[in-house]
Amino acid sequence: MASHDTNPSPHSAAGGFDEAAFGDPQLEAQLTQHFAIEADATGVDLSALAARVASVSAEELPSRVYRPRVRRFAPLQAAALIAVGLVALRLLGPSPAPATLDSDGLVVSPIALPATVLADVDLLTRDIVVRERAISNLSGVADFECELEALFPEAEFRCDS
Amino acid sequence: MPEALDESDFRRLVASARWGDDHAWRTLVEHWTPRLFAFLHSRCRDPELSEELVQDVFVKVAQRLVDYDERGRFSSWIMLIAINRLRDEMRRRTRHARPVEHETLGALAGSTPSTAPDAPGAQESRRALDDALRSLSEPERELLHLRHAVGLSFSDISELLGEPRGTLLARHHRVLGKLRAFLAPHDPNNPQEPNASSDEEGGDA
Repeated sequence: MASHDTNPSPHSAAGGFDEAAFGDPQLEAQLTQHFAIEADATGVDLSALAARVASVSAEELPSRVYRPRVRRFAPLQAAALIAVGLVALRLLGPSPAPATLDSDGLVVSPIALPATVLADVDLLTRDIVVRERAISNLSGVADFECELEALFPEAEFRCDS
Repeated sequence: MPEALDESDFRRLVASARWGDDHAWRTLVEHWTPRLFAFLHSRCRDPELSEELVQDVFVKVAQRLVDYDERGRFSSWIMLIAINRLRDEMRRRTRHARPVEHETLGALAGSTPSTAPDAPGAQESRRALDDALRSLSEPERELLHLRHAVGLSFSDISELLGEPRGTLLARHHRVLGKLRAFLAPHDPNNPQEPNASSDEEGGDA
């Protein structure tokens, strides 16, 4: 409490006012002691309260709330975005096989990503994995690679399971 | 009681806590818990509610840490959260018309100190000071609580309440004068009649 602060007002000279000139050290000390005794008289164990509060509130810290979510989703999101981007490029760019028309309308032939594109995805995702591993030493990278392998079987990810 | 910390310590601890430093967060909590508890208890006189509010304040601080603007004072920021939380709770209680025996709780609190027995007359002088504090207006009491229960500097209080520091210094000076006048008849070392006129002069700067 205030009584434990050697000087609760270190800015006495700031703002052009000398706090000492406005004070009454004896009465102020009496007030500080009075409030301290009042709080003490409640019988509340403040150390135990602090420990409990620290533990409960720590769960709400930004690092706890956001980091796991970022860790879990960032690599997958990045890989998905890259894949979508590449597919979009493939669709918008010059097509090696022209779309065919039938009586029901426009039918686009099934998308077959060329080996070079898959190799790019592989390299980029591997890069993400390596970075993620370096940053957070994350366990579960193997699972992540397995997920990618399921998505892109041609890409030869190193799925150990 | 943890060691005294200043604003630069708070800034450093907040930055570390943001990045998941549990020790930094614990240090902040340990520093502020007794101060917040003393302040909240001095305002509501309810130990259980004060404990609950202390926890709420830290949960809110943790949730808002990501948005905390380091240009401001941490002391003012955390106290503002505490004051707002207390006001919300008091409003809620008033709406639900839950009578709280503040006087009784205060008397009980004063009569059961967990510290060493009082010196002769100490309890009487504490009771006199309690009466004197009750005679003050709400803003006057709040100023004393912020200054002497929490230990905030006048600069912190100025930022917190949005009032000029000079105004607060003058008000504090005047309030001390009022207390002296109130306490003078109870002071065995001071047989003179109370004369607070000099302290009553000079309004807010």
